[in-house]
Amino acid sequence: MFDSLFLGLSAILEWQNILAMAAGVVGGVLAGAVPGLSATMAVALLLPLTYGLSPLFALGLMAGMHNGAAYGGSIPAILLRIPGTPAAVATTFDGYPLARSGRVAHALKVSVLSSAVGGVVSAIALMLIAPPLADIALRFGPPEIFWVSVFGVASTAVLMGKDPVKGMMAGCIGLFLGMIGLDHVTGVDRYTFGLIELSGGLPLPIVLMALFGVPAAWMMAEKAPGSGLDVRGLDLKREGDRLRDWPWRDILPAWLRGSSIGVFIGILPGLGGAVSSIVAYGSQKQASKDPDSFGKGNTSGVAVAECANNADNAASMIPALTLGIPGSGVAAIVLAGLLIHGFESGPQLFTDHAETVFGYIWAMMFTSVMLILIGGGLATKLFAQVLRTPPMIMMPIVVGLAVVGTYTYENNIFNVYLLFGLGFLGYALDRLAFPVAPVILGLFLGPKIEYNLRVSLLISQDDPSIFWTRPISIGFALATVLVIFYPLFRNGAASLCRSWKAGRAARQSR
Amino acid sequence: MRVNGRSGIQDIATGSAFLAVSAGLLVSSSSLPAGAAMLPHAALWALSLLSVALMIRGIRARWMTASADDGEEVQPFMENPRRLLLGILAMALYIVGIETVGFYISTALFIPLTAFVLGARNRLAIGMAGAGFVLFCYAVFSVLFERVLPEGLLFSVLQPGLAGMGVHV
Repeated sequence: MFDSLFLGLSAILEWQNILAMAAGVVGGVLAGAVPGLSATMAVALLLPLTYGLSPLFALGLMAGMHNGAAYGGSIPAILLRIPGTPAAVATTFDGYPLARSGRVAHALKVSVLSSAVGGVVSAIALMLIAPPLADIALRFGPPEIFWVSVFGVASTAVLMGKDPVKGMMAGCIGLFLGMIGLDHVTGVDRYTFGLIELSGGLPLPIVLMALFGVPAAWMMAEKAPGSGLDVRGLDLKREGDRLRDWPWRDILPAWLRGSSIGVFIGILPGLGGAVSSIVAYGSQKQASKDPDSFGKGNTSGVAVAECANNADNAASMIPALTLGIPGSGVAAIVLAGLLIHGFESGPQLFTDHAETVFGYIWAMMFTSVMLILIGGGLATKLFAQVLRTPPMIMMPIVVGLAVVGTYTYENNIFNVYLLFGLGFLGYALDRLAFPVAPVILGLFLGPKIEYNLRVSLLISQDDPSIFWTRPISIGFALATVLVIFYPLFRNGAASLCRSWKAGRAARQSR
Repeated sequence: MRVNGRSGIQDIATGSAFLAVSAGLLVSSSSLPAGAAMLPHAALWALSLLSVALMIRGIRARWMTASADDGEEVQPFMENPRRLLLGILAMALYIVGIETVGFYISTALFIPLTAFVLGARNRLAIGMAGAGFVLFCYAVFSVLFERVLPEGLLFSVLQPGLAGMGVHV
């Protein structure tokens, strides 16, 4: 084991490979920062270019792209409230308010450092505990994935916003939006109203831009000339944001929580960074002594979200490398890259090609550290200047970015009209104080919930007891029930406490 | 979550709107096969019940605090309706323009004009923002990632004529 680790380390530290990792990080940050371009797309575009390259050079580039894009998505999320990638959704919740209050450098620094921590923890997990973690993932069959997904939507809906009723309504809206399109079992169109373009369902990146970017642009249009940010607050050099002044008591637990949740969700196939960051954010808010400060610019909110979405990166490679089951789109492309270079995934990969596999794992770790050096500089020196632009000029730029990102996603003008239409929903949800995260999670997990529900019923021959007769399923089912009724327990306990205090006060006055 | 008279009215209106939409969708999809309808119907029924809960909460809040001056904490639905309408209209025209005259021409007009209409008066900043954004899109999407951006109906109409004149398009 340790021999393989050192073999991989010495191989990846050759200067060509270091250069490849650095180039990958720069490319990844740029791709992640531009809405409409994703980590999957960037790595996929890179794949054909790696045919003639040495395996570790190619894998170093891919690792840099993967980690760079996962972090890059947070830059427009913080600056413009447009998540550059789906995984950056939770970063908008506190990153954008921090930036609007003039603490843009702080938000970007917390984001890059948290991304690096998440990436390093994830790489260590991949290095040391890949085989046992993959074994845990294998125990998750359709009923377990069903309950994990339901729990994800329910916990986000109840715990994320201030109002559990609106949160649950948002979750239902998301689940419904996720059902639009062709039903793959019966072959009937659902809620497409004759529009063939909707048969494939609502594309997640377009919904993200519609629910985050378009309302932000329209709200910028509403602001009168002369309003907006105090430009002095954006002086990145004068801000005096020193590391020793950071709220470390909040950030360190956030990193611990974000990394653990990111690694755990990363190894479960198909869930990905968006789920891990939203679940970790909800969990952090719930555990906080000051939950009301979340959504208003809480540093630990940015830390936990960014840490969790980067902790997902290497973890999603655990089932991919050990079992050949990719945990994400990028993992599938990296697997294809390995195959092109003659490496087949499976347990033997770690023994037969130890130098290459461990070299790749080291590359995942080094590129996470490189984020601090390269990504932080790119974000603060290049992208952060964006916020100096007045809202009247910023508004058409945000619209232009959302439109071009939407169009290039599938080269389809229909999606641009969809963006415009869904923008009204996004604006209404924002103005009526509905949390948007449950909508996104419902949309993303809805098809998975439905698929696993129906497959489970097929396996059990329509016997629903399959959902509560397996140990992991029971655990997640109980957790789901508890989380849905949590507000009632909390309100009941609060009213009991109030009546007890009132009774005591009455006794004392007598 | 604080509720008061004004938020009560907003809750009643929001709950009614979502109830109407979800009821309409349930009716329109009543002919779906059972398997295909299972989860969407469950989501719509849950949304209907939660909408009713929101309306009941709104009615209670309105009834409890009807006479109090309790406008705090509830933001208006639109901050500035006239400017919001301008923003929406500009975006709609931009999208139509993309199909008609193509992405680059439409964007080069949309950014400076919208900024000017919304109140920006620094001509240099407006011009640089428009030109910079168009160049950025060209460099990233057209050159680097080789994406084809909409050329517009105008381009399709002019293409044969331009080709006939010997212009390479």
